[in-house]
Amino acid sequence: MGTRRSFLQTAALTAVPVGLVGKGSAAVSRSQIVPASLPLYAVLADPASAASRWFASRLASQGAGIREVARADVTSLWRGELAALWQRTPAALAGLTPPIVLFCLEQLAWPHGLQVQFHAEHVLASDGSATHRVLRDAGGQVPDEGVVVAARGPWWPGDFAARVAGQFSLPVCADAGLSCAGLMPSVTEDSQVLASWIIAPRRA
Amino acid sequence: MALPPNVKAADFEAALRAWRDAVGSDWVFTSDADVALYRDAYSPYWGEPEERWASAAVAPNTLEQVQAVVRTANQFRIPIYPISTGRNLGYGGSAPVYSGSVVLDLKRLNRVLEVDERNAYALVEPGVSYFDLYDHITRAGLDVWIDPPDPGWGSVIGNALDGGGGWTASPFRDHFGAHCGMEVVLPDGDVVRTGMGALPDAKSWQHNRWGFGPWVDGLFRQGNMGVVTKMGFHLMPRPEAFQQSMVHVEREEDVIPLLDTLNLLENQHVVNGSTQLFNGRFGSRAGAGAPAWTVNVPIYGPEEVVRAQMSHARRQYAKIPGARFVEGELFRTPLDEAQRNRVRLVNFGIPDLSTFGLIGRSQANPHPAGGHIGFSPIIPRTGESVLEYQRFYRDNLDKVTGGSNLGFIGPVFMTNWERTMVAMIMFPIGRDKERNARMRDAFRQWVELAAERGWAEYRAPASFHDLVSDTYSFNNHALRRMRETIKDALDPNGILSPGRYGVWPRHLRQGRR
Repeated sequence: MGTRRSFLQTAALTAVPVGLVGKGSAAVSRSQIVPASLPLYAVLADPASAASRWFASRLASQGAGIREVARADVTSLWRGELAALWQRTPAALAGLTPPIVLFCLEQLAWPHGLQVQFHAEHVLASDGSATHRVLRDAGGQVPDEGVVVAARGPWWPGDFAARVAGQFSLPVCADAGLSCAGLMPSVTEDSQVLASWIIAPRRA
Repeated sequence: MALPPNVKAADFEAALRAWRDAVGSDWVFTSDADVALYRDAYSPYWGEPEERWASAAVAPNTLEQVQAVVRTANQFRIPIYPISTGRNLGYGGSAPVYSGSVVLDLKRLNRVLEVDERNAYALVEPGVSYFDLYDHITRAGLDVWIDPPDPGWGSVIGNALDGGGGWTASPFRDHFGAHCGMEVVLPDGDVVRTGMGALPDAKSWQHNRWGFGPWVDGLFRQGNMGVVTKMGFHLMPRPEAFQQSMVHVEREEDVIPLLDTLNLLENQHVVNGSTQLFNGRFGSRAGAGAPAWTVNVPIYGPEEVVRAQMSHARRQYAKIPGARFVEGELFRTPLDEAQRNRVRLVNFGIPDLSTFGLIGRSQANPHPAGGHIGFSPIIPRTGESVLEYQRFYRDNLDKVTGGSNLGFIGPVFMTNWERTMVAMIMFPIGRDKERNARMRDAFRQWVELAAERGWAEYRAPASFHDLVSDTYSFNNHALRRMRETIKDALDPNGILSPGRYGVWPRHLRQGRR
């Protein structure tokens, strides 16, 4: 494993605008962001989730590959591809998956100079309502309560997530440390929780 | 930049310079973002003032660098907290017990130093994960197995030192029990090798674990007496076959002969795999129509021996009236691809991360634990004790939870270690601070109530090390006093993992008792 800094120094950097769409969105300070753009290597999809597959296909249309992660088990992806890949280069990933997938990948990505750059949580209740909470944005802001972008509405998590994630061309955001991906919010037992996320290299 | 507690800024700066000289500036981490990564992902104090944080981190690459780091810490009286891969989830992760300590990150010591197939052992450094060791063995084409925990991304040394266990055959699934020989950097920077390793050019370091004289390896298990930089492990030669059967009984009281039979078969080395006891009608996993109790009967070995032993086991269990013995499939190893896709891989020495699919919310599992801490008391391995524990759990549940449903998972009865029964309850930890506070309170109550009955934990989350340590109070906490005496002798400046498993250095002991 090379040094953390050497990973980032070898990455190609180009300027890219960054923004966050939605009500209550936190203003992103450009001074907090090192403008950068790195190709999105792959988008992860849970084959059992229509929203996840839709999200992946949306981002794949921008040139990223799709990798399936069934039953929230990243073992095959990690052992078959990412472990070797991240030894060579800090390739960025995205996904709309069960939160535990993000948690696992964040833990695995950390020694390779990558971190969670974007993280939103999508709680879909059985009555059809949805709550989307941004827990980390491209500016590396980590508001305690998150930024609730939409309290109710017919939005599928996938629809919302694709809109937000589509705003990013893989920014290299301010350092923000470990995300809260391993910890669940308090939700009713009949609700479904998904996380949309981007893992990308930390800045030098 | 945060300062470690009781350390002057000038001293800390001097130490950082010394560490940079020793390991290279790229491997000394002081930025908020770098240090924030050494956070307990399952902290029961997540986002609260009591959450434990590192002040900095240092990542050496060699034994000599570890010694230099430790000597510098001693010189400037800076508390350091060694971690291996930092994946001790549910028990504190990579965050120091003594908040503000500098994390000594041993991930870069990640060499598999030796795997001897003929004598079935390995010698590894602390940064070697179960995945790493498995890959090494696979690439080399060696016919030995590892015994991975679940998940398999943790450190072989770290898991063993924290008292972890696995899922294949005894004695390998007692990870500390399976070790043989250590190399340790003491708090003064000196280095020792234990067992036969104390001989120069030792040829039996990973053969015989005892060596000559008092055996000191136990000081480093769940301890803070030294930094382990190498550790040997006995490995299992690949067994020719594995078969697992299930035994079901319908009456609650049948758990008594069920466990007696299991214990007899294990103590006779007829059954050697990792067993679990399931109650189908009690606790978080109760199901309609399920048997009262189920135990698995796993056996590894040569095929003809496995078949004979399983046949013997069947005859023994048949003595329990009404017991149903369901013989499982016999697998010949190595497994083919199709078989690998339908077995629990850890039972075959193959590390993986599939357990997160069980504990993470998904469509298949909408009620996961996700973040959690474990209450892991040891109870006698008898059916009477199991029934007593269930009554204890049921009778105290409302008191501990205040009548609310806190989403406990369990009791789960585990026998990863020989002659041991762990009656685990998992506590979900999330981002709701009020709910986490209730979990912490519930945990404390369970610990105290269990101790009143002579049950105590074999392992605990870092936030509860003092609480659990207090329960081992025989003869005015004589065991802890003995450990403190040793601690004061080995680490008079109290720099190494203060407070780990309830052992504090002298200068931090005042007022804690």
